[in-house]
Amino acid sequence: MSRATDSGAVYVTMTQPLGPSNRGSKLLDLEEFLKENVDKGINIWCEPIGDRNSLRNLRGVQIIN
Amino acid sequence: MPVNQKEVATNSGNLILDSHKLGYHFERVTAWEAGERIAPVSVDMALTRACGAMCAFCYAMVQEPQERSSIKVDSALKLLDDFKEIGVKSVSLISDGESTISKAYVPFIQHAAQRGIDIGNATNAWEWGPEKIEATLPHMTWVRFTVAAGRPESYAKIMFKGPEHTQVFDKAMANIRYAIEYKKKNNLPVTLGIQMVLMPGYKDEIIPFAQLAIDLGVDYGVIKHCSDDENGTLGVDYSKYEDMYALLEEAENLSNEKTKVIVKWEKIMDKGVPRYKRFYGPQFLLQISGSGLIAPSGMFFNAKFSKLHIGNFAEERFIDMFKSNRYWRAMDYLSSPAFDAQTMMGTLPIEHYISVALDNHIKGIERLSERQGEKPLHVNFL
Repeated sequence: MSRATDSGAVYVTMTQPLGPSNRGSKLLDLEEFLKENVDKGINIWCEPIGDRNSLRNLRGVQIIN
Repeated sequence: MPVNQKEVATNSGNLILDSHKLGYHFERVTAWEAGERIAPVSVDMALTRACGAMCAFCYAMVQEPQERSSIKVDSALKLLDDFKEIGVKSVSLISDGESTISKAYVPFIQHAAQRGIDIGNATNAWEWGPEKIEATLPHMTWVRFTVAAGRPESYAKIMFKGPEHTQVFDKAMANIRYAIEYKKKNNLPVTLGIQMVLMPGYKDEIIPFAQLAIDLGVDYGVIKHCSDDENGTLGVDYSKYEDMYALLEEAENLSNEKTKVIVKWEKIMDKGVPRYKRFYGPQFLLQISGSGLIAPSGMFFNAKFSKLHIGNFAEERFIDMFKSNRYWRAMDYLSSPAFDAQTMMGTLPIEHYISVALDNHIKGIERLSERQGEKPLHVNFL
């Protein structure tokens, strides 16, 4: 877990790559577990990633967390 | 107060751009309401995440997934076979990349037509020269060109590196004019339109854009809102759209017999706040990233939304994902109280119109019904 907010958002970072066919279910499992055992208001999010397109990147848009 | 025209009469038929066509696919609405696992009517996708433009309004800037896969021709064609198998009726090449630059572009369109799947494409037309036009235009239902502004300098400033780079405008106009002529010469049933994504700072571009649509002689010029993510990364101030209503009406009034200027009033007037909390639209209109990622909506392509990522069609067959529990788990999550569309996703998704309609339907505010009679243009594109 990398951080959490007062509104119940819990951000996680994956320490190892997890393919698209696996990560959705695993993260939803984790969210369900935390909702049942800690607080119903918890939502799991991964740390966002900025645009990797080199041209669009020149716009300098930074993802707001 | 602007009037939202649900259908706009054109020389080729009625065009619905500021509403939805669910009533023409009512059997799928009925099945969905009965709890069946339905196939999407439409899929919005890209064949790459790459793009040579750098549009200031581009939502793809906030759609970066965990990883990118290169979409090969074979995977793209198999995807269409899977769509046909499950009952997808149309594919729009829009999403988060410029599909015309993909090697799969021409074969994908030709294969879609061969399989009886309607296909449309939104493009900047920079790499869409005569050869590609001739290979693809006869197979497409519509093509919509992204034209950020009607004046070359403004266009180059918004869509490329700066106002001095007007060569990109000239190239786009040459290709669009070629397509218009090719359509006319071959009497093709394809609809050609140009689109402006309106940011609050582009007020002075509204009339020149509408005039360009008229001068080009395209079937329509549409002016739409700009989407933003849930944190306002692109900085779209929706409160400022109201100051432009009079100009937008003036633009619509430039419409003539050949070219209609259409404003997407419903989305613009929603001011970025959806009326729905549950997000039912993706079950009917699925989005696929140019990275190959399958997620219910483009709103969830970014790595942040990894819990809603289903798979990647460059790595496994779409039909297997569609039949899997993970596909339906993601869809069910969006329809559940765990999800709130007002706070947990960006604004004005492509599924907006159908999501409003399905939410009203479920709540009994306005029940959907089967539409009969003459079908509008592009009926299979929700």
